[in-house]
Amino acid sequence: MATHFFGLKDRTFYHSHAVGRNEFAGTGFRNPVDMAIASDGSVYVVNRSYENRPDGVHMTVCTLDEEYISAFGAYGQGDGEFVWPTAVALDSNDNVYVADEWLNRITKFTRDGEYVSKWGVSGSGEGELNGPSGIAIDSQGNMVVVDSKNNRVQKFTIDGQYISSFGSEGDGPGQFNLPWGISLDGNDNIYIADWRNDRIQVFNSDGEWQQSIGTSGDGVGQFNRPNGVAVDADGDIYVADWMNNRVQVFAPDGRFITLFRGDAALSKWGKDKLNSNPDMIRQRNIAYSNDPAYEQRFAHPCGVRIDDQGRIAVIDHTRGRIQVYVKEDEPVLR
Amino acid sequence: MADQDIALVAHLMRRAGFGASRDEIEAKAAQGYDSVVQDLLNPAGGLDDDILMRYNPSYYEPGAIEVNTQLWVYRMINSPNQLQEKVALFWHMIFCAGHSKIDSGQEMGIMVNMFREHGMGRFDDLLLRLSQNPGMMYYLDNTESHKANLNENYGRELLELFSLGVGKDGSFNYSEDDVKVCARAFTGWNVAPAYPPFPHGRSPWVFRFDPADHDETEKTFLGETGPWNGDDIIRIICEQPGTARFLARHLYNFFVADEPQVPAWRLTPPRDVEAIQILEQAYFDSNYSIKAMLEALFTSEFFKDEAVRYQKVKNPAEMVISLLRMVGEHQEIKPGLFEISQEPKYMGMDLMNPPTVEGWHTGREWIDSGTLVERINFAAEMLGNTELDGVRGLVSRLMDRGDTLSPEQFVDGCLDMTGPVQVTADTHAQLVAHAAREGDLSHGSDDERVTFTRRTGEMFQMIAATAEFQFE
Amino acid sequence: MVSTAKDPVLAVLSLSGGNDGLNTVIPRNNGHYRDFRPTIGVPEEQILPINDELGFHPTMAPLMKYWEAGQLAVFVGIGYPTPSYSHFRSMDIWHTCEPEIIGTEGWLGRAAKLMDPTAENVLTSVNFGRGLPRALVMEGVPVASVGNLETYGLLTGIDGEAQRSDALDVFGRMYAPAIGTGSVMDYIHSTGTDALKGADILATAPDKYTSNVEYSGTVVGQYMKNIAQTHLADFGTRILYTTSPYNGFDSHANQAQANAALWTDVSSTVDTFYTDLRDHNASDNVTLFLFTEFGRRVADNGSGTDHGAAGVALAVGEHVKGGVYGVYPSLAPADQEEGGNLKFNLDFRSVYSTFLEDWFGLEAEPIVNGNFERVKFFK
Repeated sequence: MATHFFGLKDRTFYHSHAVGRNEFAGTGFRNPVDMAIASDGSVYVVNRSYENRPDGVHMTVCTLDEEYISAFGAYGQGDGEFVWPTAVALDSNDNVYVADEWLNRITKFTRDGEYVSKWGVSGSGEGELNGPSGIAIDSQGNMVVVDSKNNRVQKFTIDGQYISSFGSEGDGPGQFNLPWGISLDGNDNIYIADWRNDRIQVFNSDGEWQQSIGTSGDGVGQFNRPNGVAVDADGDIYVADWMNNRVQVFAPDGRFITLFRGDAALSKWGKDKLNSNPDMIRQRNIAYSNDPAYEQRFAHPCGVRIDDQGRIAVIDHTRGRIQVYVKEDEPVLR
Repeated sequence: MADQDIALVAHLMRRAGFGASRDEIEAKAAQGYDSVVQDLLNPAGGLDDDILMRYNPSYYEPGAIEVNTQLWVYRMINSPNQLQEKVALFWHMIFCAGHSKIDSGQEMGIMVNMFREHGMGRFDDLLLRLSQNPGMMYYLDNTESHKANLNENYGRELLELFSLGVGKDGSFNYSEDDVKVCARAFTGWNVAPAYPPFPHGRSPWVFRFDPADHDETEKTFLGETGPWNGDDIIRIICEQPGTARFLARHLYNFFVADEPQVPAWRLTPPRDVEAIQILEQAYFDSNYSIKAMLEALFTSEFFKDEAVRYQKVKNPAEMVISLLRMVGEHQEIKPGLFEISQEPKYMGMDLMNPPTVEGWHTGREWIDSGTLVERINFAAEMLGNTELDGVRGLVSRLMDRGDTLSPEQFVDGCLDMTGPVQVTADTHAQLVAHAAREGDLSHGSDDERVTFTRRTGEMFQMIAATAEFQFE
Repeated sequence: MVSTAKDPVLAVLSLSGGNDGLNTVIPRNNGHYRDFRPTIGVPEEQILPINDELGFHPTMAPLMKYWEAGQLAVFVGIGYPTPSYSHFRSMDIWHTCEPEIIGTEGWLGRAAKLMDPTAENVLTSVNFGRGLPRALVMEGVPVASVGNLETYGLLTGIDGEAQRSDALDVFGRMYAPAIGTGSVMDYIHSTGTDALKGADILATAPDKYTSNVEYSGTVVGQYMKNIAQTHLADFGTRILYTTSPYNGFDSHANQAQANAALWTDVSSTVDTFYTDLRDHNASDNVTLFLFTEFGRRVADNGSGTDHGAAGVALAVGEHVKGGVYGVYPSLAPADQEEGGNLKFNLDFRSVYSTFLEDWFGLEAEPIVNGNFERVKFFK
């Protein structure tokens, strides 16, 4: 029998499992918007929640194997608190940095969630912030910040001393319209989800424009408000295509490879929840037989990260979970 | 610009929308009344949903009731299509279904979205959508109504509260038999099973017709005999003069002046018989178009008449939203909207959760000693806050009226800025006497400007506290 | 009916969100409890025994002396037929005593109407918190709803005492009865006058109050303090109502820590409240009722519990006859209500009927919409 790969011979992907459930505290997430994965496998998840449930605003620490570790941070304006937390990054010692796009500040915690320090000044001048929406730490230990409402990217030392910036408002190369997420590859190239321009822009570590990927739409290689981006060790690029409810995968040169729409089965925490709610099991089972896709698919995927094992973790925002995919060179039958 | 043009456009914006800032009122007065009416009737553009969801990601598939009301309040404050939002509220106050029974904020949001999108279309289309709206079908037990085991609730309320009304001109519009037949025609109209809230959130409920559960036998409804299904019933309902009367009175009551409570309509004639006739005519001439009825209403003399201004007690949503629009608060996306979205509830109007299918009692019944305190204090808090951009703008407009203002000029200016509000001679005299204690106002020096600003804030609070300010 | 020196007063603390009855009054040596609560079960040695089978959650230690003094009634298995798992609906049912149809009148509103039919006292019922719970709603019954007693009143945003007092004078004159302005305007004028009167009277409560006790800074602590202040000010208030922060007891997750904090606060606040009243020799005529809209699921969900059916309520006071009322529902899977819930055996309307008949001396039946056998929890 003939097999047709149409040029995609060297990679294969499969869905591994899902982590989490919707919950305002403990073993679940509430409107998660970003995560960072530490070298020991700890996953730091930013829970945005919503205004009338400030108890849902915090960081959850768990693993991709669905082990709950702890939570830290709370709603508020005090030290170690958040109003609109939006992004997280880890330094080489696994200290945790969280960006708050309302308070215009970056807060540093230890890996155990103890508050250390904060920085950030509101404004549009050099080194000032208006809506920091994505953060990443480069190989020099400097922090690259997506300064969203100022339509630029700024580089700071890890304690907030301004170094440089690039970008301006617009839709040309190197210009932005409310950019959101960020990722760096192994060479400190900078990938920005240029949210309202429906594209990913790639810059070198000096901020020089390299390429743009994508246009507006819902076709292949098109985006509807992409908000998160990640790059794996091979240079493959994963984009959370927010309003298209999918994740698209591109080769390093920007060529489309495949896309994920979400394939989740029930997570362990999800099963715990259902086991104590037999009436929900009853209702779910009838609904599932009507439309299994509803529960499997992404609903506003909001960020992608790659762990040490190369697993691709996608924040499935509205469903309050993380869907994990695996890339293999050789095919795997699941 | 003539004061009467401003007063008329301000009246239009209070009724066809949730008021407006002084700048907006003046711009619209310059645009011309008829042109503004056309803009209101023909919504175009709107809010950027992507931006709304960007900063409030929970607005995507909003589940919690609080998130749904918050999103609606944001739209009421900021939508350029003010009449569309006002019409959504109008239907929500007639086609009442509430979260306390439905227990799904998502379904309440979906229902209100339907009112927003289709509320100015044809009434038969709207009734069909309503009868297929899963939240409403559950609220009024149509999901429990079966061929073999009839539940009359939806059949009854559709006739009594959603379309014909009990009667008009002293006689009845339908019989008890019509109620049963109506209910039988809607058997088989049901909702497909949906995902529960745990562990990943509900899936939206979906209408599903089950022919096996539908009573397809012959039925006689309002004198017409046939194997009627729900859509036939809606067709027959919409042909009735009672439906035209019912809609006309509701529109008059909501947009023009307070009528008696609905249960009294069979026996109590309309406040303005001629106005009702004009609206009924528009209904039939346009093939049941709500938009055509609204156009007839807003371009009519009875609407423009000064005698109907400040004749309606503001409902709590109108009170809260119009103040926010006047002072320019929450026009950008920022924290604090949840608290604001609860204010109507404190004043007795829990949005998306009316007390019963009969809805809120309106007019003077909005006011009791508890809700009056809430209304006055919220209004005073907003208008008295001279830090707010909108209020500062009003203060500087007042200063522009002259280097020195007498207490009377000052009071008249403040009343004009906050409405223009019409007050009784007694109230006017009290306000002037209050202003006179501190004498004339000037704003030449910094000190004088500080005093001028403080006194304006206080006078705005006094106006907010008047009985007249309870009306629109 | 109980005899008190002064008119009997009912204070109500609504525990919003659905308090977990099973972890409040715990069947401490029941094997099923251990099986169903692997994550959040309270270790047996920490439970405070109140009889051979049941015990309080350890955070309820401040209530033990009320139990031992025979002043604490514990209602178990309390609920109503065909339970609703919706916060709103279930709370409405408790408020209106209407499990079948959607009711608009509250049981305490109806009681207030009977106690003061012409609304002579604008402060017969006072609610602490924003927005009026439906329990207090009744046409023609004025209820002051007080967000903050220290600052309660009209035109509170006007700075400076002299300016504000001037403004209130003007308000009084503007709302004086006017002739010929139309019936709606007349009505608003008289309502405004009532509101001003109520606010004027209430505003004096904090000034009259001195105390040796310290309430916690939480919402529950502060509103219970306001209830004490209002009671001690002797305005003739008969119904004092407050609600814990909205859905605070809705312990879907992290229940062990969250509920421990809540009950630590509630228990110590109840004790502070009665200590305060006793210090002022004003405790005799006050009964405090604590209730919630439903109990929770028997099985925990890995970190909390979800909405359930039968729950627990408490009544405290010097005329209360301490004890356990109702039968603790069986936890055996076969005995559970469908969906893994405890079955109720004590209708809440029975408890209400006792408050109405034995405490207030009112006929209960028309208020609770039926004849429910009273529970004899008053001495």
